[in-house]
Amino acid sequence: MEIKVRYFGQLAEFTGKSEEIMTQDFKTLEGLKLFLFDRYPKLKEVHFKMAQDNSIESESSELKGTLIDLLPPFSGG
Amino acid sequence: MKDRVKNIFIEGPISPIKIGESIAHHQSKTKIGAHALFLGQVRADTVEGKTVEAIEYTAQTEIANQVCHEIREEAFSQYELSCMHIYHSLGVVKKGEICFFVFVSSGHRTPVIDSLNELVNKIKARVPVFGKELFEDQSHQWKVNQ
Repeated sequence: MEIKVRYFGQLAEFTGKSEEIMTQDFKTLEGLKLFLFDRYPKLKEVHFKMAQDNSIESESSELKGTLIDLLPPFSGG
Repeated sequence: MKDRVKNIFIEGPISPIKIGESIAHHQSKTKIGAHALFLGQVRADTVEGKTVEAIEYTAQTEIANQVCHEIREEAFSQYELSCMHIYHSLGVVKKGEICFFVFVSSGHRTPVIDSLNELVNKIKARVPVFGKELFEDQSHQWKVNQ
């Protein structure tokens, strides 16, 4: 299954891109996170939340969506 | 009070004219006896000798609007409010300009004063907006909320 992964804020600087398509299978959001840590080690430097199909979910959640967002600490206002 | 998910985002700074008009729109709602407003302004912080010239905001807008909707519903169920407006900038906002506007109204002063601080804190903590502080020499750092 194809998923789109989007990197927000400074995470886009760590990966060098704002989004990418992945075709690998991951069971959970954490599975995807560990894969991304391997590919982009700098991602380990900032704590981020993960969202699946526009809903922030825990890393143990089953990966069943097609849009995954990595959200660094919020700094609105 | 249940309503649809609203878009809180405005491209660029929030103009003082818009804020004035927003107040004026409530003059026909004569059950209102009190308003409270919070305006966030871009501060020219100095970091290691460099001054912030502007903040560039980005957001995960779908989640941001949904979370603001939830925060809005929480406030309406908790406080006796007549209406509430939340606006946040996207894109570049220069130092001294307004980037964040929260406006609550009620029959009396206590609900608006009590709810406003809570609303601002919840929005800052829970809404996925990201501020990139741009310095005069073209370098930048990512804003961290206190």
